[in-house]
Amino acid sequence: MKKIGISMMIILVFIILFINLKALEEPTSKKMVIPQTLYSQTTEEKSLEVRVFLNKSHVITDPNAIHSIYLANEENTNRIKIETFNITKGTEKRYLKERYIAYIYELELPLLQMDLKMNHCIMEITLKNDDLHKISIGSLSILSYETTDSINITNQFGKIGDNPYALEQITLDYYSETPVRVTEVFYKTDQFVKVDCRYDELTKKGQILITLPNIAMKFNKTALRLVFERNDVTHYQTIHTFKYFDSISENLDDMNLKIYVLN
Amino acid sequence: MKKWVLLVVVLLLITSRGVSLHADTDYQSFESIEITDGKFLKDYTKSEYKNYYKKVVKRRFAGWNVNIVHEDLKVTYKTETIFSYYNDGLTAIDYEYKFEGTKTTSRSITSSGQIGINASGTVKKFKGGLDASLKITSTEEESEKENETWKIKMQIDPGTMANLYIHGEGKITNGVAARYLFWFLLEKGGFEIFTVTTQYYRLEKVQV
Repeated sequence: MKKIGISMMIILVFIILFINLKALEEPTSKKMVIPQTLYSQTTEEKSLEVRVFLNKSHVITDPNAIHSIYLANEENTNRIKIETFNITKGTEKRYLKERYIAYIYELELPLLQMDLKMNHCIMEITLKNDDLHKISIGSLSILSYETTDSINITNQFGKIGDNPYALEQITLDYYSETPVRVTEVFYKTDQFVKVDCRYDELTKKGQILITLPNIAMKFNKTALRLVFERNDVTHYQTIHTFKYFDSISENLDDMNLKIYVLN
Repeated sequence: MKKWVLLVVVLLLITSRGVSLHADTDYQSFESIEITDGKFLKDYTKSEYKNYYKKVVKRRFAGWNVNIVHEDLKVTYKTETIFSYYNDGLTAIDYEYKFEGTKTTSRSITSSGQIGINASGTVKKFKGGLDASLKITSTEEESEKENETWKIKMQIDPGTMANLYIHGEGKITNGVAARYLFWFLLEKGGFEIFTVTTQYYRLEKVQV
């Protein structure tokens, strides 16, 4: 009987110690982590996928609790209303020893017929209780697309550099019925990269090596616009969005992130 | 009496050890896999095994003796063609392919000799706690790709076939290990861990 009493006392002491230690621990705040990336696509794509990460559940990921979503630039001079959206749960990632769950916002875009750019794109989420959350998602570039068969891309692939999330180079093999000379390649509406073509003269067949500038926003897919000369006239051709790689990493550490503390 | 019980337990443990070859050949099902330097576990020769085992045969009270022969060797691989589409018409067509990725673990393991693999569950582990001795972190164990869908749009000329390939990069760590309990050898064999780091997509159009 005495032994049972001592055992009970020891267990009780441990329980009290555990409760005290728990009480001393600083409560973890609700955080939303958003990779700042380049969303580069064409007007042919009807939706935009935005990925956010949360360490705790929050109503911001509940479609029934959301009143409206807008995409806007920093100056608020350019705004797009998202009429339809869907939110799905993704896999877990780690960041600074904490586990975060991915939530994918699939935003249906309105019909666009010309280029759209938001150098600093904000996703504005208004909840049904009137709480407004302004979340920076990175940069948005939508290139207008027109069907043309001027240049046919026969081979398309990319490679990464030292950073596992950053696309460093894209290679395009092309073929054209009439000789062309590719002079520039745009990977977003207002930024271009000078191309390193293997052929300087007009040619029907060639390879374009696109070395992407080292920008803070890392991305793995992009649309492209080729600028080329044919018969001394400059032409443009938009290439469909293509995903060049997937980085199989559990950590968000190498990404450019924005962190928001949620109430 | 206690000594007899202990002896019986030890004898039971020794006699119950596995003897067959266990292998999880996930990555070996790739179309091709190349290693720039070093060797795969399957290419170890008998003499190499004999040589590598020398570093793990020192008896210990309990646990694994590990000899990592190759660590984080860079490998490149190519999986099967994801899709092929042939335009046998007379005009160019706009084609849209819906890519549906499946859940894939980023790590696969292989073993030889008496080292076993626990195949139950989505994440395969070595039996007997070898994972912990190799310091395989839980992040790598649980790394999985979620289901994802993305659309690839392209224009395909007449008489042309469009193919989408997946190839990638990963790292290989392999070596030999031996497990002891009460200074008795329980298991001995080779192990290999393959971790996918990057998966590349390549779209190619060829005239047929």
